[in-house]
Amino acid sequence: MTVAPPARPFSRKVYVDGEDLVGARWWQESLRLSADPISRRRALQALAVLGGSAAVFGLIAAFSGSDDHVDISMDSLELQKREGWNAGQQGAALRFPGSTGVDADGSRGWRETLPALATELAPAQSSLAPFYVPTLFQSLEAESGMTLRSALTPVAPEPGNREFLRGQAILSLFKAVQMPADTAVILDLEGPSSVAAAAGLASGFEPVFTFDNWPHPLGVVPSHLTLGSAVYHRPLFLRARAERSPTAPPVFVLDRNRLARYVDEDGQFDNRYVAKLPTSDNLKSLGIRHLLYVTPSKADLRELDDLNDDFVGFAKTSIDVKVLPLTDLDPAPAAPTASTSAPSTAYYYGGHPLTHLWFWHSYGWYTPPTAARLPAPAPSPPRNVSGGAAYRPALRPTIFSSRTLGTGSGVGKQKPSGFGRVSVRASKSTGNISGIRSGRSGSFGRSGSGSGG
Amino acid sequence: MSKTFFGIQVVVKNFVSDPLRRQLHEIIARSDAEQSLTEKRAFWKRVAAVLNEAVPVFELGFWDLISGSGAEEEFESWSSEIEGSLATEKEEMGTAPDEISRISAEKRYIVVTLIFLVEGGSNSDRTLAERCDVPESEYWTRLTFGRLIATIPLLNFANVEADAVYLAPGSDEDGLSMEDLHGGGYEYLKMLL
Repeated sequence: MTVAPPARPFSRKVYVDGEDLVGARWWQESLRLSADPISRRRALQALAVLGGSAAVFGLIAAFSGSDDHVDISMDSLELQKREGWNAGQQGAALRFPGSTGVDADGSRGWRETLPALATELAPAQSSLAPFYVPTLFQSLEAESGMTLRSALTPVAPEPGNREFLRGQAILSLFKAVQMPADTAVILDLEGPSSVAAAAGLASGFEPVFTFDNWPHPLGVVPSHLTLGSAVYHRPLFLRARAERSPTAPPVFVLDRNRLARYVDEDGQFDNRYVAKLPTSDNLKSLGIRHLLYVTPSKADLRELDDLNDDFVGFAKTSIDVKVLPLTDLDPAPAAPTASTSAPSTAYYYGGHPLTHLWFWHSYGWYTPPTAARLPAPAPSPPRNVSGGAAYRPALRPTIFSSRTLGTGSGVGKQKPSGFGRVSVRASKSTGNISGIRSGRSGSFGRSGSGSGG
Repeated sequence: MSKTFFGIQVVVKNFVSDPLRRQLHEIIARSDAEQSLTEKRAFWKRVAAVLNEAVPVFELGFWDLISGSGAEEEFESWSSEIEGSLATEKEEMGTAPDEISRISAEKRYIVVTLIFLVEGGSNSDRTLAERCDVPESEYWTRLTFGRLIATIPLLNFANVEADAVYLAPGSDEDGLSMEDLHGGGYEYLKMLL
């Protein structure tokens, strides 16, 4: 027999009419009672089998139509660590356009070095070690890393090696002011470009890599290219370590593709992540008072959204942040009387040796010593550079802004709902994953793992 | 049975002469303790109509849609925190602001919160999912907030397990200043464009 629902099913549980708050809350008891407590309990068991509490793995579950399945939104990296770097896409190829198969030294022996990459590229200074994020490099160490090591190939820079040379140009600016220890560089370029620029800086700045995801054949973030670029430049990083001062200032190496556009299609795997930088207190303990934030071009004169809170915090604690687009560094024009037609291999601020040290006039942190000053007569300030020296962090609403509920204190930067997550279908009874959906909509593909369900 | 939480909170600039607060207060005060589905729809239709008039003066806001096991917890989190901590102490009610709790006496802003817990996979759930599927760049616009509030009367309330509405502060003489809203736990609110 079917029981008819009550005529007025909503029952008010709370009514407040005070000076502080007016409000009302209702519950529809008939719906509450219709929930299946057994299904809920089973689901909780499944979540427990999947790896502990929901809080640990950040799982969000929804029941599917099947009796023994539960659909779960799971942190993408956790899924990859559990199911393999290519979760749900075993056999799919990574694409490395233009790869030559050799590293920067022209060697083909790089493949044997892959398992040690995370160790070799770690900061030498123990004070910088806490800020190193080895996640991407560790993808080569995992049990499933064997297939990734087989699939990987070095990613050489594009002809002209512009990012590496621009990295060297930034280094030359700091060498002109005796490599001050209180200034750090943040490279926020596309992954392979960031790695190449870091290689150009590495004989004077200690690279601190912050790549916090794993590659995936359908990854929104093409981090396999970043990984391939690190493999290519590895010999340069190792040589630079021996050349630079043991107390060299840091260069934090970021991949701006970490926030790449995700369109929620089934053809994408959401391996995005948010940047992890030292806090103001961390930077101060490292003696850092200035940050040079390097972006790709003049169109990028402010920080990416996930760094806004951090940068505003830096400014509040008197850590000065300024922006330098890489395109402010250009090669000098070829001299009309040059006897050779070879292109210039050196890059300069403003695109000319005579404008190079105008950088310090604009950015103002240091003054080059007399010997390094511009030759007389001093040229005019370069016209083709950005206004990055005038940048000041300003708080703006982003999907990464600090968020609290009620009146508690802020919980800091966090991933927005759904960011860096993927949907999986798991067995309620065993917790085994039976399907992985690349996007957050559409149908499930079968998991390639040996799990049941 | 899975559930979905939908919550929307908006800070509205409210001048003393504006009828917004009085109208919302009356709608809430006159609501029945027991409501049929028709009465529930009519209630939310009135709330949405009043708020729709105020969309141009929405200043800050926050909304969230959470499906799955966290939905019920989120509903209870929002309701308990608002019912328990959005208090304005009576002794703060003078025109001179309290140095700690009220930075400015310019009390122009009120906070309106609407929260819902709906059955997962139901018509209401699908309606919310469709209307909340906006590009990230449009999450925090007045247009989006207006559109989301206008969605509420469209829900099939047979699938709505719980709902709540809050207006703070409750007193017609009191309000919040923008300085209050930029600190003291409201940091999660987004400036609406």
